Amino acid sequence: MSERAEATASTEKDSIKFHFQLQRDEFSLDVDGSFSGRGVTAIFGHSGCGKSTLLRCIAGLEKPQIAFFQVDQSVWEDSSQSTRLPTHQRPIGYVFQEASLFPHLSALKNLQYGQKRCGQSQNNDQLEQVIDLLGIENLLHRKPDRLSGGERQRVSIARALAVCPQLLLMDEPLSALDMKRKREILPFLERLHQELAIPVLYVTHSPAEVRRLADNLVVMDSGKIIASGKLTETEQYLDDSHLF
Amino acid sequence: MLTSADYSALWLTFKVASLTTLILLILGTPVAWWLSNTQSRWKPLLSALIAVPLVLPPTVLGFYLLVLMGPEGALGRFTDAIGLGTLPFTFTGLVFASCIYSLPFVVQPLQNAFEAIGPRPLEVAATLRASPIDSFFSVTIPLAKPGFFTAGILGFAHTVGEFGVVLMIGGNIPDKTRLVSVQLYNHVEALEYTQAHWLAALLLGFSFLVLLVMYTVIKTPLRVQHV
Repeated sequence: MSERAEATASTEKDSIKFHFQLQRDEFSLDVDGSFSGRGVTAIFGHSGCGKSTLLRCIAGLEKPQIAFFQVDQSVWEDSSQSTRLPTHQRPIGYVFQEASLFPHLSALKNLQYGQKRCGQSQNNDQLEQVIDLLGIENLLHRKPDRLSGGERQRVSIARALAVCPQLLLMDEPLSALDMKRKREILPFLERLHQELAIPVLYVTHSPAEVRRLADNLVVMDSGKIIASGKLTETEQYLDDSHLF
Repeated sequence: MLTSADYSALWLTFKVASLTTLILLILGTPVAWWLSNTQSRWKPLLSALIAVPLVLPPTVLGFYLLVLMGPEGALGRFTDAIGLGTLPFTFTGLVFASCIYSLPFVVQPLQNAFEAIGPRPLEVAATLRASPIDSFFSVTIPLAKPGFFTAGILGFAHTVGEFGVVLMIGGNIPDKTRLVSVQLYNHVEALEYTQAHWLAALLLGFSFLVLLVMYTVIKTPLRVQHV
């Protein structure tokens, strides 16, 4: 643990602390460290390095053998105490790689699905804000199969925000889109970055997205964290990664 | 045209098939859900048990049900003890036997539908604060709708077509257990070919129509949508 602690030098500002160990047939995840409670932290690495698995652990979608996760003072999961919040009780927003909108519901009903269930159903200002932030007011009454890939991803980002999360998790939200759609969505992500007060964990394998969106960087390889810190201090890893 | 005995048999068949379908949709849903999610080592055993009526001669199934429901059978003793009497040659007995007979026709389409949905929509629902039971009703069931439709239609149509099981445990009691397939058999036995033609044509038309509706409404049955 001590050698890793050095690599992931946690500063006192970091309010999100984690430790996960997950063994699978061909893969193991073993991470221990902290994230900043502010801004966008990119989790970066080539495919198969465990970055999405880390995000799924944080959301409670995986069951690691050893797990600890804490945001500020509240512990979401601690396998040594056998405490574990199920996913639906964690105050997160999650954006999946492909938009995963419910096909049987309109865009608006998709937004309201989570909003209703987190006790925000009266809070229409908040919903309007999210709709405005992602520029989807014209899409609300369409079913997902009537939306383009980029529009679907914007609706699903809005849906994740409509539950008023304390932590936003984004798993390669642009990777399923072509260049044109990426360029269409990036400005909205930059707006999120500027306007959101909550911390965002953003999984990506694209150095360009990291440079454009992230404040902090966590670099992963083979299920381990090999560097973490402010983007200004860790940026050299983005280019190193081409060697992988 | 049809005689009043024919109408009575048709009406009775409709009642048995509707009730059977309803019961199977309610009981088959949790079974299919469990089968589609479990990695238990009991899964092949249960799957095989449910599928047995697909390959078993209906008379064999009817024979065992007759023994089971009879006064010396385990089920017969139980129904007798709770004051229902024994089930062979009763409407209840017919519905019970039909449920066993048509079980795979309801469970398998449901199981396929649940499996086609996959884990992702339920993970999404969980990140949107839906508990597992909540997401079953708000996501799984709406997405599995074509599966429920297929299961209902196949369960109903298959029950209408049962013959061997009915003969074994239902007998041939007019207005009580004489279903349309048995009524058709009676007409042929009595050389009433005109009557037999009417009933047979009706059943053929019904079966074809049911399948036509199914293939029209569900153009792409059980399609997974990743949107």
